[in-house]
Parts: sequence; structure tokens; C-alpha cells
Amino acid sequence: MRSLSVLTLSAATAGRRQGIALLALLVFSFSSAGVSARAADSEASEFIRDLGVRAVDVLRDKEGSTFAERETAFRHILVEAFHIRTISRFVLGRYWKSATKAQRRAYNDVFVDFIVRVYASRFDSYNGETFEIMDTLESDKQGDVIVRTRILRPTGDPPIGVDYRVRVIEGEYRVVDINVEGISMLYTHRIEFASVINRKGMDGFLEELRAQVEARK
Amino acid sequence: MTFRVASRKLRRWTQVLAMLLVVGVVSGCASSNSPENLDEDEYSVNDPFEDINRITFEVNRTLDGVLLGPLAEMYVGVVPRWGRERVTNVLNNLGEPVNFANGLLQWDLERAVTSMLRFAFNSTIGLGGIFDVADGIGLPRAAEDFGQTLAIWGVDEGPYLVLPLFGPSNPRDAVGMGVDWLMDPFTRALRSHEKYQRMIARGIDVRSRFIDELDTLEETSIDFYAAMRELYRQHRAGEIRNGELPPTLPIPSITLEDYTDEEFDQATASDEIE
Repeated sequence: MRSLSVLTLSAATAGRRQGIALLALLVFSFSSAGVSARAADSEASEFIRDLGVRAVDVLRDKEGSTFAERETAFRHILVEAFHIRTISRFVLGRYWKSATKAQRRAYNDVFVDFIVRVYASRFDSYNGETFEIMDTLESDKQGDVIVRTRILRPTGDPPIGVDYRVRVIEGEYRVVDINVEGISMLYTHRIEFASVINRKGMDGFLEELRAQVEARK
Repeated sequence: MTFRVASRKLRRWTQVLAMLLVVGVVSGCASSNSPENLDEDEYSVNDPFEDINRITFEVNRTLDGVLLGPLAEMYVGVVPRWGRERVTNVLNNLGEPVNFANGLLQWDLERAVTSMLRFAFNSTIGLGGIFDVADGIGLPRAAEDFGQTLAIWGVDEGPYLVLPLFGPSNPRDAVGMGVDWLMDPFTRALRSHEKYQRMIARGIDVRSRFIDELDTLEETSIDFYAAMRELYRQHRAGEIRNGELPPTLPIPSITLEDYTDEEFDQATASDEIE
């Protein structure tokens, strides 16, 4: 009886070790993968898997960390995995051209803070959600890869579809847009920003961004 | 008797035609937008009635703040999740004939048949729609409305409209809502007070499922009206595509060569907080 249980235990650990070895092999082969489209696809989805795991780790750690710590961790993930330069410029659209140098600098200074505040305010609604990667598609635009994922909810509510638009910029994978249930975050912010700039001017808009950041401090 | 039915049907169809004509005219006006207003990426907002829309939006928000919002919160507070899910299911089930009709009108037979089978299963085995048994056997809800049907037929969304009480819409979807109301067999079957009860129940049901989302959006947006408008437009586009992947819009890469002097420094943004 005892020997049997020891046997199954050792079999289980052996299995796990094998699994880890296999995983290491997989990770290794991904990092040294060639340039074929297939390899690019799986690299992109591996990149998103890694991003998702890190994000869930941050969200899950409700007891072990303060809100400020989680916000900082989120900021790191954002800056490392997203191409902020492309995103911030695109979201401002044609108003970048008409902005003065001082306004551009002010915008660059506040943009990441603003994005962190907007999305960090949703942290507390985290309720044990997990995610799964569905598939990976080549986009017809600019060689981007769309990684389709789903957020699974423990409450039994229907899953939420989240598509990541991934692009290789300066040799690294970077997210350039997130699509939640068909709604592009980039385009939504862009339209919203344009509306504020139209109504309040560039300086009024920058003031609004700063006010949002301050309001949540 | 058959004559009376026929004439009633005819009258209804003239109503529909009249409304279609209105949409055609309105969306015709809208497409003559001046090119100066278009963004360089040809992705712009069609909102010529923005001033009046913003007023209606504020009125709706006030109404929501004093009436629908509190009702929805009370509902969530009193009725447990299980009960609320049953209510959603029953209301969804009452909507299946309209889903079926629109699936048929779009000549999307798969979705039409899905809606028909769902209605058959859920009304019987699902005890009048209380349980969504069809979803469990691989027949997920295929919501279709006449606004989507018009879109499939090639009708443009037209200018953005905020309707009193009903909220974000456009001529196409507003007409669609009217047509759905007319083609819905339950509109005829139910007595008038029952119709209103159903409408109010639907309102509270939908609102109760978006309490947190709406609060967060209102809190974090710098222009709630514009954010809502964009969400509505993209959400409807998604419904028309039946959840298929949206067409990828261009996003130009910004590399270091552009505007180097005031360029955003990715590394600095990360270091700032350390």
C-alpha cells in the first residue's frame, strides 16, 4: 500500500519534471524561432500569454500588496508590453501636428499616468477571472498579428472577448491596440480626445487629463 | 375578416415604408458631410446634432440618476443573481420571435433557425424561458434586430442621435426599434399595461447588468458623451458583424525618427516610478 503510493508519487513528480523540461524546451525553441509566419504567430501568442499571466498575478495579489504597489506593477507591464509611443501619438491623431512643442511635452508627461489611472480604477472589480488564448490571426494591416483571447468569469457570466493587436517594433513584440468585444480602446480614446480638444482647445484638454490623474491620487 | 387583417398589414407596411423613406432622406443628408471635417484616416464621427444630443444625453443622465439607476441598484440588492438570471432569460426568450424574423430577413438561415429552436426548447423544456436549456446544447443566443437587418441591406447608420429615454441611437437603429416593436407578436398578444411592464422590466434588467461598467466609464472618461457615442457605434458595428473580428483599421507606427526632440521616452516612463 505504502510502496504503491510512493510509486505513484514518484511517477507524478517524474511526470511533472518531464513537463517542466518540455516547457523549457518549448520556451527555448520559441525564443530561437525563425521568421516563418507560423513561428511569428506562436511567438506573438506566447508574448500575450506571458502578458496575461503577469497581469493576472498583479490583480490576484489583493491581500499581499497595496493598491499603489499593484498600480506600479501594472505601469511596468504597460510600458514594457505596449508601444506607448505609437499609442499616445495615434490617440492624439491630427492634433499632434497642430500642438506646440510645450504642449507635446506636456501630453507625453501625462499620457501614461492617465492610462494607468483609467485602467487601474478597474482593479477592484477583479473577481478571480482567468483568460485563455483562442487563436492567432495575421492581419492584413502592417503585418500585425491579432491574438484572440477570452476572459473567463467565475460567476458564469458569458466570457469577454479580448483581441490584442501585436506588432514587431524595433525588434520587439509590442501591443498597439486592445479590442474588447469588438471595441477598439485606441479608437475610443482617440475619438474622446478629439471631442475634448474640439470643445476646449489643446490646453483645456491637457488640463482635463491632469485633472483625471489628480482626482484619483 | 381576412380583408381586415390584410388591410391592417398593408397599413403597417406603409408605416414601415414611410419610416424607411425618412431614414433614406436623413442618411442622404448626412453623407454630404464636408471633407474638411473628416480625419486623415477617414474615421470620423457623424454627429451634426451634437448640441441637441448633448442636451438630451444630460436629461437622460438625470433621469437615470433619479429613476432607472436607483431602481436597477435596488433590484440587484433585493433579487439574488440566480433570480436575476431567470428574469433575463424570460425576457430574452420573449425576444426570440423578433430574432428569428430578422435572421430570416437577413437571409442568415443558421441564426434564424437557431432562434427558432431556442424559442421551441426554452419555452417548453426551459419552462417558459426561465432556463436557457438551448444554450447548454450548443444553441447560443443569436440576437438580431431590424436595425442590424437594415445595415445588412446596406442602410448607413446615419448621424448619431440620442433619443429621449432610449439613449444612444441613430436613424437606422431608431427605425429598427420601431419596426421590431411592430413585428413582435408579443406586442399584439400582450395587453397594453403588460407591454409597458415588459418594457420597464427590460430596462431595469439591462441597466442592472451594466451598473459597474457605466459608473467606471463615467468616472474615468474625460468626455462621457463622446466615450458613450463611440462605444455605441463600435458596439453596434460588432453586433452587425455577429461578433466577427472587426476590420483592422490602420495604426501607423511611430518610430524614433519622427519628432525626436519631444518624443515620448518609453524608458523614462518606466523609470519615473522607481
